[in-house]
Amino acid sequence: MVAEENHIKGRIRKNVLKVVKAAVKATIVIVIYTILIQFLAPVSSMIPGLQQMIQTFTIVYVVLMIISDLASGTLFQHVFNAAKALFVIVYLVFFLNAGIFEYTFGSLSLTVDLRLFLVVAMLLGLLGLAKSVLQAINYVGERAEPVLV
Amino acid sequence: MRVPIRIIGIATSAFWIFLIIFSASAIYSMKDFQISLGQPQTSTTEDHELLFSFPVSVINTGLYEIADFNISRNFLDEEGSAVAGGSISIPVIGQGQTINVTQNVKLNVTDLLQTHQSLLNNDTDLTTNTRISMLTAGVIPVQASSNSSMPWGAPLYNLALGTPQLAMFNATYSMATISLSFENHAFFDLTGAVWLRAYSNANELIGQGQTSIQVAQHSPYDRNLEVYVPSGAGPIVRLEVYFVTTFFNYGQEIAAHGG
Repeated sequence: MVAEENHIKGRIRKNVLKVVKAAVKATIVIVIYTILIQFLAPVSSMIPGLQQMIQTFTIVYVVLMIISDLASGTLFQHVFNAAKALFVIVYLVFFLNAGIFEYTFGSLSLTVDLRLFLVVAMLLGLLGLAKSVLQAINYVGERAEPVLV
Repeated sequence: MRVPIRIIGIATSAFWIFLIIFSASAIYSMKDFQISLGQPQTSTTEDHELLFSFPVSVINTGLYEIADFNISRNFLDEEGSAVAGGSISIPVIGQGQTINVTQNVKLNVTDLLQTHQSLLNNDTDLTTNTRISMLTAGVIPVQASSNSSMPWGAPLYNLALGTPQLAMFNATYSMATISLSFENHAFFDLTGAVWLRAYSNANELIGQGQTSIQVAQHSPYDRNLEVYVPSGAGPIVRLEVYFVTTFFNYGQEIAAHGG
């Protein structure tokens, strides 16, 4: 009876810790987002859609991050981490128009070549994806070990 | 396996932080980069070309230096073909640096007017295409282009020959007085000679006259030209006017009424 109570308490504590960890991480990302938006405010007025793009990216990223943290200790954590890495890659490719950012202000047309940035970001995204896959393999491996023993 | 995964995680996070900070600061830095393109000064060269000198001022108070800064400017005709162009490059613009340069664009008026004769008589706007390219923070290529118009003033605007007025000169010749008028709207003074040829009903050259001209820019010209024609040659039905100037040679045929 006491052991069962302790087990329930332990699970509750574990879940509360997960929620706190997710909340702290989400807060950090939101603080970074707020600073970044203020930092880019003068440029955002010149490039419509930039703020919206960063906002949408942050919302989806934070949601995936929270779900992933809440699912920690399960295989789903790694699935959501992989989804987060894939989302970063796809979103950047989609919104940066394959690295060539073009905008027209009246008679002035502006082209910014962000292909180098995109390549580095995609490599980092792929590295994140690889990390998630390795974590998933490691998780499955660790789960399988006691059965084999 | 946990240690390598953790190292990958730490390395990825570190690179992401670096990438975000670098990108954000590079974009932020662009707001402190100013380019001002001034109004052109027009002059003529020894080769009788028009020289447009555009003052360019570049101020970089951003966080990063600007590399491979280039401004190219082309004058385009109505069909979009380049008739003249020039470019200027600055290899590096450091932080806090202000650079003032002059971009020169030479316009060969002779070539331009040979291919676009309508520019001799009609005021119009030449399209100017300005293209600016640079490497921001040393790695991000940025290019901006803009079209604007620049007024072109015709050197022979409203060119007109008056009706020949015949007067007896002597027993064999008559003197035809023909008024020649135009306005020089061009950026340059017109210096040279005008030839006038008179043709009879039988399309025979019956007389010619010549005078030198010197018309300052944005000034009108209105003078009478004299041509001596044989008294029995009949009326003048056709006139040809030729301009031989430092910038262009041009001939035009005009039907004469009366005379």
